[in-house]
Order: sequence, then C-alpha cells, then structure tokens
Amino acid sequence: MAKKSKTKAKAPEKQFTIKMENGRVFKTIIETLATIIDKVKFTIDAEKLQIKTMDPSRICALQLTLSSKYFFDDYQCNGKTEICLNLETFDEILQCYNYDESIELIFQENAQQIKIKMERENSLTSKTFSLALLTDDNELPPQMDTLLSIKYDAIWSMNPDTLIEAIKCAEIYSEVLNIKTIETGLIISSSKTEFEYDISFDDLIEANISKNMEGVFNIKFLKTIMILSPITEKLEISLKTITPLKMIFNLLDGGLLEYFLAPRVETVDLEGE
Amino acid sequence: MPIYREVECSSYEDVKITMKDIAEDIIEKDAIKLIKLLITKFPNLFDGISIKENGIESRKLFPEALKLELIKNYQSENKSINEFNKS
Repeated sequence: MAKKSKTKAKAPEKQFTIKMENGRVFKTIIETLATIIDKVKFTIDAEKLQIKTMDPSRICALQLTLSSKYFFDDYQCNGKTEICLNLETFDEILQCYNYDESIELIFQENAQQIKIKMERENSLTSKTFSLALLTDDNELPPQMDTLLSIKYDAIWSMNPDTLIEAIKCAEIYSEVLNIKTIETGLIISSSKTEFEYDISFDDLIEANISKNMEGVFNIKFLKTIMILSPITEKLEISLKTITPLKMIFNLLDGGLLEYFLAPRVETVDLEGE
Repeated sequence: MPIYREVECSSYEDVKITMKDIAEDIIEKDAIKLIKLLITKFPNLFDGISIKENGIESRKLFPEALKLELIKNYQSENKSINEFNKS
C-alpha cells in the first residue's frame, strides 16, 4: 500500500505579468514619484496595482490606484504580491522607453527581481531590463482612509495648466504658495503677495465652496506633483484652513492619484528670515 | 533648434559656478556623472545641482548628506502629514 505523503503542499510561487500597450502614462507616473521618494512598495492584487506612501520628510502622502481592468491591457496575477523597488533606477530604465512601445512588467518571486520589457507593435525586437527587489523595511504605509475621510468645505476642479502658471509666477518671489477662496473665486499668491493670481469661478471647471478657506503650502511639493499634468484628465482640489491640501488627479487610462500636502507651520514668518 | 543645456551648481557661499562650457559638449548623462563624481570628491562644495534644458529645470540633484539637511528643513518649515493621519 502506498504511504500517504505528510509533507505540506508548497504555496504557489507568486507571480504577475502586466502589460500596457502604451506606457506613456505609466512612465510619467514613475517619473513623478521618483522625484518625491527613493523607494516604494507596490501592492499588486487581482483588482489593482496600488502604492501608498509618504515622502521622507513626512510632508506629503499619496495613494496611487491603477485598475487592472481599465489601466492595463493584460493583467495576470496569481494572488496579492508586495514588491519594493528603487524608483530612481526604475525611472532611469523608463527613460529608455519610446512612445510607440508597450511596457510589460514580469515578476516571479523566486527570481527576486522584476523584468521590464519594452516592445514596438508588430515587431519582434524588444528591450528587457532587470530590476532587483529591495528589502521591505516594513514601514507602515500612511493611513489614507483617515486622510480621505477629512471633510472639506472648499472643493473645485481646475485646469492643471492654470495652477502650473501660478506656481511658476509665485516662485519668482517665494518658496510657498498661498491659496485662498473668496466670494468671487480663488486667489493664488506668493508669500507676501508680490504676485497675485485672481481666478474667477467662471474660469474653474467646477466649484463647490460653502466657506472661505486658506492655506500656505510648499511650492516645491506642488511643482513636483504637477509633473502629472500632461496625463491628467481632471484635477480636483480641496482646501481647508490648517489642514492638508487634497489633490485628486484623474489620470488618463483610468489611473487615480490622491495626494495630500501638509500646510506650512504658522506663526513664524519663515520667508522673511 | 539645438538643445541648450546648462549645469548650474550653487555653493554654500552663494557663488554660482556655471558649467555651460562643459555641459554643452557632453550629453546630460555624462554631465550628471561628472557632477556626482565632483560631489563625491568634494562633498562640501555644492549644495545642489540643477540640470536645465533650454533654460527649464529638468532635474535637481543633491548629495546624500544634503538630502538629509533638506528633509530637516522641510520638517521644520511644514507640518507633518502624520498630525492629520491619526485614526
């Protein structure tokens, strides 16, 4: 009689293969994130690829969600996988991407690396890069649910280019951007109002402002996240006094990035020092 | 139109060293390598390097020690997101 084996069945090797026929949006996302953080944990499950992270100084937090159904053209994943990658290197690799190529990410747990394959349509020629996984330092991700539950009384949608223009003008004078809502619209200005940008409600796409609010924010962090503007379909901004600025980027191909930027410390006039 | 490339290094003493002559003759990647090498050899010389393409900043580089200084500065000037992140 054959003996019954008592050895436990091995868990299947975690793996995923995800593909974007056009990788432009993904490239811009990685480029943007690489300017904020050095390494990041990607969580991939059957429904989405997700990143939740904070910058090293803990001033901003973000959550990126790329739906398996809408963002990717091919998505195969055999279970929840978490991988930690060096974003600077990932960004350098994606600088080799040409806009007529697809991007495929291939992961097999045993290899402890991901493969990034770029390929032109109807071509057998391809470029494949390997990127080693970093050890996960088990740092807790930000509690995005808490941030996302904050109620805001001033919410509007605007053309990202208008905000970029305001940032560009304000940074001539200051390292911070004042944003406030008034009865007729918004005022975006530099720290000592050497520059003021008046934007009427007519020039906003949507506005729901029940109370006037204001906040002061670091320009560098705003400028960095606005690298996403060419791939942004809709930008929604929420403002509340002494509360993080909330920016929701609805990205092309169904991507979603939720970004929170803490306000500057009040009382001390840092600009005047 | 030829790409105008400028590698600008500003020192602690607010003295600007513009490496235009070097940067125009070499590709950006080489310029970055060169600057990284300079930072390694002379860590106190630069506080940051701005790589510009046609006058628009495309990249900013900071040596590791300066990155930490920058983080400290950001922390002193801004509230922490964790203050708003307690469940």
